[in-house]
Amino acid sequence: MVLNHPAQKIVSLDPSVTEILFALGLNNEVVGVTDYCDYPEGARSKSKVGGYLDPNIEAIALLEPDLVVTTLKTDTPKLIQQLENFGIKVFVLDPKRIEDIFENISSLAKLTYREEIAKQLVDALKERLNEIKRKVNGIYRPGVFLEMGTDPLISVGPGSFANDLIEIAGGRNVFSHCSSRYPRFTLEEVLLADPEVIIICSMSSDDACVAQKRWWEKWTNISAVRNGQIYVVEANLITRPGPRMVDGLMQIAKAIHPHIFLEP
Amino acid sequence: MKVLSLKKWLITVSLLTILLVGTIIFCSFQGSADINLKDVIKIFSNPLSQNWWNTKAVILLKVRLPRILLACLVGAALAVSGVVMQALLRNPLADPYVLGVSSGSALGAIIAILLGLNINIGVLPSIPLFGFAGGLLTILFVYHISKIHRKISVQTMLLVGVVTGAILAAIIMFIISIAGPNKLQGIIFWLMGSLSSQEYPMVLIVSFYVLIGILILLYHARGLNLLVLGEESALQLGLEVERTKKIAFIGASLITGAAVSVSGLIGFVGILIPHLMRMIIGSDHRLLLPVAGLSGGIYLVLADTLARTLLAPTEIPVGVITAICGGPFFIYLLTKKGRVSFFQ
Repeated sequence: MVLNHPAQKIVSLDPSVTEILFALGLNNEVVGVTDYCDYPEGARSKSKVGGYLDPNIEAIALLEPDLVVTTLKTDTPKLIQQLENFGIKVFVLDPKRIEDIFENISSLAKLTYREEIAKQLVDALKERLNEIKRKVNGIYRPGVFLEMGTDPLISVGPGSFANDLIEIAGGRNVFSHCSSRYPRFTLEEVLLADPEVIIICSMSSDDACVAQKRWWEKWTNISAVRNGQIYVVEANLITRPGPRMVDGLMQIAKAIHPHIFLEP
Repeated sequence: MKVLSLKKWLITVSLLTILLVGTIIFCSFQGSADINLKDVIKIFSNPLSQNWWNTKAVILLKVRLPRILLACLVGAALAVSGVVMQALLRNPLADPYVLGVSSGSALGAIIAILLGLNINIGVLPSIPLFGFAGGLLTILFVYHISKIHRKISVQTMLLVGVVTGAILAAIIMFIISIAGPNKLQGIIFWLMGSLSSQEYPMVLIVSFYVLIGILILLYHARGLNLLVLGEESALQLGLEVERTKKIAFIGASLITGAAVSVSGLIGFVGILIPHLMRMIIGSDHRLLLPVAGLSGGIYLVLADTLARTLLAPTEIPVGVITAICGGPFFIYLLTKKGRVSFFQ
């Protein structure tokens, strides 16, 4: 897809896309975002066009964008068709792994003529990613349990970004053998897997995370509990394929290998 | 109705009790961790040793057992409540949820989830407390609306209950549609029903409500037998109809509310077990109530064990198992028997 002139009015239909667009300095060009686009601060004051699964076509059309950017979901083909009726071009991203983020930043930069900024951004992100990879190369990989949901317990399996991040950060996801991306399971499985690190994914208030951390501390049979290796990481950093995912990776790396990644 | 002898009652109830205890013990040994009789003997023969709480002991006594006991209580509560609701409303389609208790509990629990109240009030988690309160408020509302000239019309109550449930369900749908994705997961899983992550204090409180409720209902079993014949006849036979109805409604709602508040919405137990047991032992409530309670407990313990072991390490929602295993069996029995032996 090529635009004859840089996009002037952009609507983002995914929080990760919004984060990329703002990182490219397109603060003024972004005219509409979803209800869930809460980062950076500037995104909160943009016009809202509905949820990221069910955006409001009329709200998008009223903004008269010359470009709509989204990530691939079940209803995306229908959405493209509906927006084409208004003559609106739709650009679809489909990130699967952390490396895809760099590609996506570059291709969005091409459409918006921001290749200069994009190159700097991608180079810096790649540098940080490679530094983490270098530091964990060849060292012991502790078992990691990443807790996505509390009641019932939900973790991450193969095909999820968080599973990738754990592997890159030098850990071993104790539920990497599960068949689904977000497997649900019982406490018994955690006790059996005996993870050395527990990472609680924070989605709600800090109170809930503190309560959950305290709850884990009762199960002293788990190595992570005995060694005090229970950490909290913000969910958005490890589920949104945007520039901040490298921050999320860094937080996971610090949790798994504190002696390497925390300044003494 | 056939005469019920004390001997028959004792034999049936004790046989089922033994079966329930056997099921609990059998299911305690099922799971991902390989725990056998030898391990149990080792755990209990050496209670003062340093590493008494080894992983196997923790899994058996702190993870599996409270969950199994909870499944037992919830299953018993739903089955008994189903029997009582069907008798009171004289409707074979009635189940513990028919008067809107479930939607009320669900709304209470969802409000707790939305407010981010994932904290403890005393020893009790707030979500079950809100669920219990929501269920009780709903039943009180339905009960008082249906009261006309100090009398409860069963038909009115059924309609009021169904409509109240529908209104509350609509509110739940509305909340789901506007809730953020991070709250959504908690809400959906609560609605799917689950018996995981409950500990002994909660089991103790639920058992208090469920056992007291079941005892009260058992005490009024003869009254239920008469009510099934019709309110006129019951009145002529000397039953205090309004009082019996009131106690039975409140008792059944209390145990449903307690069950729903800790397990979410687990379907099918409350309709399958009552009909199944009526087919097998008849509809004398003095026997039917304890039999339904015990077999409801057995059924849910087995279903939950399948839910946590079938696709281990992944867990399946227990409501899926109760419906998929129970449904076809129920239909088979119906076709074989020709009809539901509802109230003879």
